[in-house]
Amino acid sequence: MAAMSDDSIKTEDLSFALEGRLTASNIGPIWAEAAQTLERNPDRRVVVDASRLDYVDNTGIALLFDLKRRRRPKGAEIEIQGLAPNLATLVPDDDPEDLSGAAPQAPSVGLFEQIGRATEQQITYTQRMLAFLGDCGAAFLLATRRRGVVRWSETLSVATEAGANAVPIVLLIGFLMGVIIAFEIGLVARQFGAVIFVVDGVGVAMLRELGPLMTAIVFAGRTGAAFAAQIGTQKVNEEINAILTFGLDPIHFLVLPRLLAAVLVVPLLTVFADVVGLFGGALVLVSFDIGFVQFYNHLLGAVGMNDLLVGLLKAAVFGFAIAAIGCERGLSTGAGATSVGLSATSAVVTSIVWVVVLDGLFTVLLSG
Amino acid sequence: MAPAEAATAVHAEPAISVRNLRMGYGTKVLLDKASFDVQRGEIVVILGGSGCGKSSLMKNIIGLYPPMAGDVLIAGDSIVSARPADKARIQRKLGIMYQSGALFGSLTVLENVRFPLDEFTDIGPSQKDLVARLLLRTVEMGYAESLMPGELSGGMLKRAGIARAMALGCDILLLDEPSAGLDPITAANLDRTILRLRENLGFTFVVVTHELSSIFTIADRAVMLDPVSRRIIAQGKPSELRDQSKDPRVRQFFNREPDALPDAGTKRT
Repeated sequence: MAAMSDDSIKTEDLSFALEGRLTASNIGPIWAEAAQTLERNPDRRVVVDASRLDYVDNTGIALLFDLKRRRRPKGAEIEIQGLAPNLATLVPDDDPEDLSGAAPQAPSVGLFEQIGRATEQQITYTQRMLAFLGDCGAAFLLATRRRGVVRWSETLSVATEAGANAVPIVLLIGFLMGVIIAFEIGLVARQFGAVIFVVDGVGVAMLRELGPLMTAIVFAGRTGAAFAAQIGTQKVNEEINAILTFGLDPIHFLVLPRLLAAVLVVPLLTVFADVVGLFGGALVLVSFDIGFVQFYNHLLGAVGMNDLLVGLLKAAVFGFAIAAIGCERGLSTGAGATSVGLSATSAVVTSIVWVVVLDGLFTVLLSG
Repeated sequence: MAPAEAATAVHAEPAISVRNLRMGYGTKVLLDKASFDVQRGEIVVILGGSGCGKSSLMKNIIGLYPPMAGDVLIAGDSIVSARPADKARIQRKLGIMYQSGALFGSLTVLENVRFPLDEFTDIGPSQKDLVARLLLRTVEMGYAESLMPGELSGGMLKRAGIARAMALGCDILLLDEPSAGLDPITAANLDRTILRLRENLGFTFVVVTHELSSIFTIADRAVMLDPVSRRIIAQGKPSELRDQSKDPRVRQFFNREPDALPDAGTKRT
């Protein structure tokens, strides 16, 4: 065990000894005490007896260096005595500037500058997103015109993962949405004796709004994030560079299959959500004395093919937006694991914001 | 090499003892009946062609993967049969540098090196910075302390990884391909650092590498693995293995000879 004995006051000099083993596990208090002793005695000569030091590790070397490099006035120097030569060679002689001082902190940025930087970032991002959407559109057009552009096997495997494997969660959420909507509207409608119109509410809400919206949100969380993380990791591992240097276009190679899969799969998932949502609503309305047959007959009058198609169109557009944002976030990933995480988070948040904005636009445009 | 001998005297048992180890993935055996000891203050190089299980052997030694059979003792304690709490204690005796450096991406280089000190010691903050900076200087990375790992090249990541492995003062260091991807001068400096640490502090090193020049410079002993027979096919001083081994595979490796071309006689002329 290392120890520091402070047996001075024989002369003007202060002396202490470092003994035994100095390692990371025991050096903390010894170092702190040594530093305090030196600070309390700024104008006395200090003799450090290191002759009984058996073993030091890197932290011990750092302590010896810390003692050696201290600049003190003449007559108050620190002298290390009896340090074994093998240890002495490990303690650096010079004291370059870069070894002292606190670790550099990021310079603090004022509010004004922060706003400016954020604005600039958003403008750059919007530009990049628009350019990316342009590239995607061009790739899409090319895919419709020319054969062999689309990698269908990749598209199908993405569709399986993003679509078929998402069916259970979409069913669960769609069903619960139907139940909740029917119950909430039912409670209010019963006060006015208008329970039968709950069917209209559930029908329109599920087909036009909640079916596509909830599916899109599940899709953004499940698949948008996965796209960003997959492509982001490929970027970090330089796979994107490899694709580029083969003369291939990452948009054709990686993005197009995902866009196609999303545009195909989200409307299909929405159909599932619609059907189970309506079923959930019908189930609730049984407790409001409206039977399945009555529900069905009233539903046919309340909603039309138009409502279903509007919902599916929305779903396709949401799917495109989510896949495009996920892929774009993936492709603009920086370096390292942290940036992959940031990309995935950003993909989900941006997707959901855009889904809601697009939903609003649809409502305004199609309500006229 | 007095300190190394002194250290050996204190700890009679080998730093690392691999006993009759069988390892692999699933049912696929990569290495079988592997036994060797690493004495205190010794530099042992594990070598062999690509894919023969060098890095996997290292991960078995440090307890990341359980071996299929056999045992690994670190300073006399079995890491294979240790309970989780004991295993963590044993693992803290080992300083490990992974092939890619394995720095934490969200911390700067300096914070990465300081990380083990932050977690396991009560050294003051500015003093921890000093320890970390000295370590970075040892691996010639002082200028990069405020960079993020994402901004470093492969060789720089490795060097920072070595500095982090040494931070807790572990005297058994395991390095996975430390000099691959380094320029010759930095690689030579790294070899010199390894030798100096061993000479002055009695550190023990297990180095996975296939850089021949590095092997001849630093290794006291080489342990050579063979992917075909899945055995250790040679152990000994590298220069002796090169000059005296009766095994053609060993001589071929140390003399850096290519495989024989398919026999010309089989071609139709």
